[in-house]
Amino acid sequence: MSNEFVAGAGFAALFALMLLRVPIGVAMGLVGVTGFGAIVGVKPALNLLAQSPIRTVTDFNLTLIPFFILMGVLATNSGMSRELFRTGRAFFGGLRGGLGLASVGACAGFAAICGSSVATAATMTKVAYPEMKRAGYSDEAATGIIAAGGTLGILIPPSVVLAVYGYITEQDVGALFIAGIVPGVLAVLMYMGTVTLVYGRKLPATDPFSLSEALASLRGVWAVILLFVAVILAIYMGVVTATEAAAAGAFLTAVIGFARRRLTLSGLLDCLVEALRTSAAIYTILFGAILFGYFLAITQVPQNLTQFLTGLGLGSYGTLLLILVLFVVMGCFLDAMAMVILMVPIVFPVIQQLGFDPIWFGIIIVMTVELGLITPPVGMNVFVISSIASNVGLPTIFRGVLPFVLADVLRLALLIAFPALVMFLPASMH
Amino acid sequence: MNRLIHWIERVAGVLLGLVTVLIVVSAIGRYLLARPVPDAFDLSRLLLGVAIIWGLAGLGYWGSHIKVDLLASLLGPRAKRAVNALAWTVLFGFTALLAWKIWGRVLKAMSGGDATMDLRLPHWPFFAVIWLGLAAALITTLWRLWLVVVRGRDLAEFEDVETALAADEETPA
Repeated sequence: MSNEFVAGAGFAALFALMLLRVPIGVAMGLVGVTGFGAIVGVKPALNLLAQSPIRTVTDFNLTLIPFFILMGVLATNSGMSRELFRTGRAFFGGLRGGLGLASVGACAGFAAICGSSVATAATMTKVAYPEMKRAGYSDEAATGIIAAGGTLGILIPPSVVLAVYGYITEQDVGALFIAGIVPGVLAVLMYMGTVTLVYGRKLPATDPFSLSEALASLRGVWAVILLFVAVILAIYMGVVTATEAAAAGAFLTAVIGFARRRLTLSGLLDCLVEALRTSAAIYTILFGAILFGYFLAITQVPQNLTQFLTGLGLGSYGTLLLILVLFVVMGCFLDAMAMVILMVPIVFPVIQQLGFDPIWFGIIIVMTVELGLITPPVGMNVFVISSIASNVGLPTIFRGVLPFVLADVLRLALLIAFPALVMFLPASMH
Repeated sequence: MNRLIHWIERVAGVLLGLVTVLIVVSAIGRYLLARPVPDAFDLSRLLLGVAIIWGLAGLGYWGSHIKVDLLASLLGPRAKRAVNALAWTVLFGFTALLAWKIWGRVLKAMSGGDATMDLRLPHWPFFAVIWLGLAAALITTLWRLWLVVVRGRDLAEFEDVETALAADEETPA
């Protein structure tokens, strides 16, 4: 069998298995081993199964992923989102569309402890949506703001998706996190701008600014904000490794939860179980991806793709655009994490060949994947919001989030045109 | 079965918690006291491996692996049951293959004498517990397959776990 035939059949089988609800990691692993076996032989292919998964599951470099997930789960379950929203409300409530601005701000604050967009959107729907409804916001505006704000989860560090990207492409996870700061802040400002420009005139102001309320609201969040700053600063200055920062972050989030009586022993146990489930699901995709990597290497798909794409004569930015469009299309039916794990190893050699910086590309890819979370037909954030705010239909949320999608595209264009916006912070590390 | 799975997940969860504490204590020891915990590096990665693989037993049972639910959500109940059954049969087969090959890895580690760096603890007991986790996953996956085929039960969506907890357990102000 020719390599091209095996590669084609492998990809066809992969997509068929995935559509048939086979766990994505298993589909990748099975196709990886079978494809590798078709070219090299059954015995070496089966030997991959003896070596690769056990190496992955005991790889120290991956341990930061469960820790960051745990940190997010602990923050979610100790009521942080409500307190962050209160702080946002105290500071922005006096402005037109103040609750919308408060929601974006609270999403950003939450994203700084939690690396998952879906968890951010879910928890904020519960907290901010009823308040916005009470203040007379339309469903469209309220849910659109939360869906967009939720996407900050995977961009603002710590981000689980960025950590996985760093592992796959062998980049410094700390540098990736630091690189996410400026685009994250830019996202917050642009979302706030969108709230004001698009919805502002129609939205009421709710609470006049009061210094005492602002200070009182900070009492609930200062410890976690300080923790976030400490974690990021420690990574930035190279004082500790990203893994140690992740473990310390999770540990201290639990300590703060206990100290503030927001966490009980059984609550902690639930958090540990939830973090374990999410981690195990991500590890399954990683097992699959690494087995699939052998298949990619033996069939030379990335090399052939590089040759094909660079031969199209689109120039480096034209090729980049093509790759980003591919990610947006794939985002129509794939989970953000799965997409990064599946697609990045395939397109990464192209990016390197074109001379783009891998850290910068990580941020660009995460932002592109974010778009998939709020665009039809799958839009994971939109689905989650609709399942919690069950009276709001999907089309309403998609309409509400559209102005933010445009803001995202604009931000993406800005960061592609000016890579220094992403790179100046990581370049100044250590 | 639900309770048994919950217990398995709790023990694995506690292991995740212990590894977190181990890394923190080791970092404190290294940076503040210039005395790191011996074998913190090896122990944390091996124990976390055990926790993650035992976590797979839960995923096999709940059905909450990351997967594409788009097609399944468009199907009628009978077709959906067939798709679910096929998906979990494939998962069962893959888990069986892994358990078979990793058993070989355990035997190799036993005879090869791989050990941790500082305390020279042998690797094979950790690998054996990892293998046991895979065996448990095999049983739980088969159990879910039976529930799908005979009782017509569905598979949980991955985000269910996160969303349900994020939404339901948010403590009121």
